[in-house]
Amino acid sequence: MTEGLFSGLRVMEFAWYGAGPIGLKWMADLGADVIRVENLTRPDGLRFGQPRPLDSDPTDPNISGYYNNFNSSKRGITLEMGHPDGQSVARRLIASADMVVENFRPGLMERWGLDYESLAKEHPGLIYVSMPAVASTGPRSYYAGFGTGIKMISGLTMLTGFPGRHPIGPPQAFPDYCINCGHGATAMTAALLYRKATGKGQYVEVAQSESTAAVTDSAILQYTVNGTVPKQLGNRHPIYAPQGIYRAAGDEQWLAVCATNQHEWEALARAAGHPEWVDSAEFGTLPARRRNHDLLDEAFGAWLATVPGREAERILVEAGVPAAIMQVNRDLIEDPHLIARNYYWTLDHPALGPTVYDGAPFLLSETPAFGQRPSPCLGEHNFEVYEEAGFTAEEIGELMGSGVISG
Amino acid sequence: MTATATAPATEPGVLTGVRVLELTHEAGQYAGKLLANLGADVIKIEPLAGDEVRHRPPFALEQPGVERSLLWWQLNSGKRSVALDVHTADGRAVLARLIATANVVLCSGSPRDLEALGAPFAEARAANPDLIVATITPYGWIGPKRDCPGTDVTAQAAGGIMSIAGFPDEPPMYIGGSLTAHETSIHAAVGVIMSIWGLRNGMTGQHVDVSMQQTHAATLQPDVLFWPYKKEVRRQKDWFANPFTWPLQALDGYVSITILPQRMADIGKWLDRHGMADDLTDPRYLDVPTYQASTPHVFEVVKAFAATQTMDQLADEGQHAGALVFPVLDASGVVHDKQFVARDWFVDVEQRAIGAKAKHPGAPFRLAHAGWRLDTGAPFLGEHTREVLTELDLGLNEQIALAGAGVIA
Repeated sequence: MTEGLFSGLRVMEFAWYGAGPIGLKWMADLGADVIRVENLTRPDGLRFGQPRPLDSDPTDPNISGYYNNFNSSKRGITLEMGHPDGQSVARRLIASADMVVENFRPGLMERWGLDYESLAKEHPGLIYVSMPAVASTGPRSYYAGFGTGIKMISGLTMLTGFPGRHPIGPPQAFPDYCINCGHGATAMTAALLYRKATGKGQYVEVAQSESTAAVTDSAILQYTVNGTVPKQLGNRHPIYAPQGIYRAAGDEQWLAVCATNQHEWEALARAAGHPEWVDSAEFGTLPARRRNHDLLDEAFGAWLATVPGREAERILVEAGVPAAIMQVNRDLIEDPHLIARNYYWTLDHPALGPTVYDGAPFLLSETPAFGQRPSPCLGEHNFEVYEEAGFTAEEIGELMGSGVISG
Repeated sequence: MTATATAPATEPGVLTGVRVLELTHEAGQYAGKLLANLGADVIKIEPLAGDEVRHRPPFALEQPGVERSLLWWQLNSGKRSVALDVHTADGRAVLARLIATANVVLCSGSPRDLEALGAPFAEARAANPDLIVATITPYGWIGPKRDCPGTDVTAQAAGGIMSIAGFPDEPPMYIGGSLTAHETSIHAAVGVIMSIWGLRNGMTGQHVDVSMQQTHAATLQPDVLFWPYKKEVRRQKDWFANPFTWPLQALDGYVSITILPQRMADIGKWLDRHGMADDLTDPRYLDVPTYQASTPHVFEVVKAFAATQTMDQLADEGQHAGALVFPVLDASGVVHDKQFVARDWFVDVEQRAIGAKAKHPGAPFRLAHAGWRLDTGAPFLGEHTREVLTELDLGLNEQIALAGAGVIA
């Protein structure tokens, strides 16, 4: 096996959906031994999520792209936490782990006797990371939710959108995919560094509502210092002009364009065949362009409507103007640039065969990320993991017979 | 579980002793902030006219000034500032001496501009194999498009996130809030702190290559996989394409409601207690296909009910009933929200430009030991030039000469 940045690190993952699993995927792709502890009573909902192959069995827990993508390089076991014996088995597994990560509703791990204070008595070096949706304390701590709700309560949604319509915010469970998993991975690594220096474990909380509210631009200061809230700007930039997402010739071809300085503005005007715009009264200066943004959008859009999207992108980029075609999922998978950066990986999954995964969002030159293995099927690594933890074949058989290990 | 304390004031952050040199435009500043908040000594190298974010509105009390940008405060409080013209030979020489004392160099811009400064600092890495260099560029450091220009909005387009952002009846939507700057920063910070872990485990330093495009591609999941799994192109959708989550107008604002059909019995009872359940207590809605087929009706009933309640009533009671209800808050809502207030989340930081404390966003994560803290406000432009140069053993006469030549300020 290839040596990775996190080789030798063992994590027990009691986390589901996105925010917890993604940060641990990054660690697993860098060599950590991340063991997902799942159960059949409350399986990770993403195992039944989309996308799945066409005409496939909707009850098959192993073929969801949504789930698989967040769990590359990990191992997976089953353990019924609700079973009276499940908790002592969990404690035996945790005894050999460096870190526990959980993102259940506050109180659930405690009910299972697996809260930090209980575990730390026997295992003072343990790093224990909770990632509750809202927080572990406070009047809204009992809330359950996903990134779809967290973006609403954190102020993130209101930084985006078109005035006069209902809130929409960034798409999907947006905070899961960079903000909360990223803060989580930062906090986990910080705790590892602390333990390396002191030998001490600790409790870490990544309250997802707070993690997301921490990256709402200057909106909070704007309110606390000036008493105002940011306006929704649609597709415009708070400073630069023009900025827009314009329709080019062709089927659903959208081009994002932004001139960030006078030089880029002049290049844009010339590339669009309108050198007379450069010094015009309407558009010649940034304040003028901001004032006449509607007019400029119309004039620039009229040129663009006659040029196919990729061609317009080429003309503008060659002129030095920041411009890019809006790519859809298919374009990304086929993007020669992302391919050259080895962004998407293909891993051979037992139930699906070769399947596509997101790779590492940041590239490390000396210890590059790599797929240790595809995402685990439910309970796929039961035997090897329990054996490594010192359970005899007989014990494992008994635990299976009594339903503690399910599957 | 009560272990929610932030770091005790006596315990220094875990990155204490790590020196970070920051040569960034907007992208990357939040990475420097995260490292600074964990104890690193982050030295911001600014042009003599000040970093571009210093010129970014809104300004404190609406009065423009290089010390008054609120985004500047947000991203740079806790750092030191050195004003140095790195586009002069003398400035480059000072920069090289600074890099020789650094553990991390964090930079952003176009590859061409960064190469002009010496990035990715191969010589410095040869002299100090432990040096970590992070670059944030429009398309990353390697790959055929590396030299193409890019901004926040073009990265959102090239990275695909824009293809699912917004309303289906509008052009694709730009996601606001300096998104690319923040998200690339998070990826850079993770790459850097993980690289520090590598160092402490006997590995060398590295080049952390962050691409604005790729950062957004990484947030498209799971939609990106609809292509390889099902040959389905994903685009903007209206709310009913997701029959379970809706934005609804309450008495005092919007809430988002996610309904899991298996909880419909409790949700029906909740509405029934207010006499507004219509027929939603009917067990047939527990059947997912029936529920989905009845979505417009369920929506109308829940919508009519929501309009009679406050955001808090809906969220508090709805969550008890098993509906995932969240208030939709803007910044004023967050600042006054009972949850954020009860957790004492905000941090008051002295900002000398207005001679008062400003209430900042608090910690993105809470470590019981050696964690996140924010004690000092934003540095004035060039405030630490003398101090940092003196630490380099640059004599007073040399400093005076550099100042006279317009290389430092």
